[in-house]
Amino acid sequence: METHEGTARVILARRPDPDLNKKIVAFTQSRGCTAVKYTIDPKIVGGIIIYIGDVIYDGSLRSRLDTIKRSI
Amino acid sequence: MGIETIASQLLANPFEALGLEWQSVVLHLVNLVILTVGLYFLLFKPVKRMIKERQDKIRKMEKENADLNEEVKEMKASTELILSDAKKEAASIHENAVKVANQKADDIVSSARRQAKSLIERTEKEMEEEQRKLQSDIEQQIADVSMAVAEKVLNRKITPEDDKKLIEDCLAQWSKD
Repeated sequence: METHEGTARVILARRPDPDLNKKIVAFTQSRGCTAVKYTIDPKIVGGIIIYIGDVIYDGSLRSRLDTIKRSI
Repeated sequence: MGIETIASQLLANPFEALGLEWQSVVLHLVNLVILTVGLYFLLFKPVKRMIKERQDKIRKMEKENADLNEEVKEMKASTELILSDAKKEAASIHENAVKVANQKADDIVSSARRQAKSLIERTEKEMEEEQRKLQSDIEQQIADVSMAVAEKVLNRKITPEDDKKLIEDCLAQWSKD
């Protein structure tokens, strides 16, 4: 597995509860990150976006809405 | 004196019966011959020559006239031929001119039709393009409005629990990949 000796940047629509925080940290650690930096951005509507190095995990409702909009 | 007596005297001696002398008659005859010869040489011959010259002149004039007539006839025939050719040429030129004019008219009409067709096609194309653009704009606006509405609805409707569930699903999915 590729390791990233750095910080994962996580964008959420609202502040995560401890349980969710734990799961996010576990996921980022599994991708080789040692720390997580949260950004709260209501514009993503819901879901999550994680930046790890050059990789972007985009599960936001914003991106899904954009996908639907493009398909329309 | 009876008629028989006069007739017998005339037959027996005609000169005497008529009161003439034969010497006088001979003299008159000689005079007549001299006069005739003189007249022949002095008058008849020049007159005859003059008449002949006149006849020759007239013949010559007739010949000239005939030649002239022939020439006139030839000229007339030639003129008629030239006139006929000219008429034919004029008819041909007229026919060609009409053909060219008709061809030109056809070309102009054809060109006008082509231009009109091209204009109609271009206009139709522009209208279709405009319609497509308008439709696309409308669709874009509908999509924008729909998305805005969806976003507002989602913002209002999504609870923290829904959001958490969505995030957990994403993390689970990414962990599998």
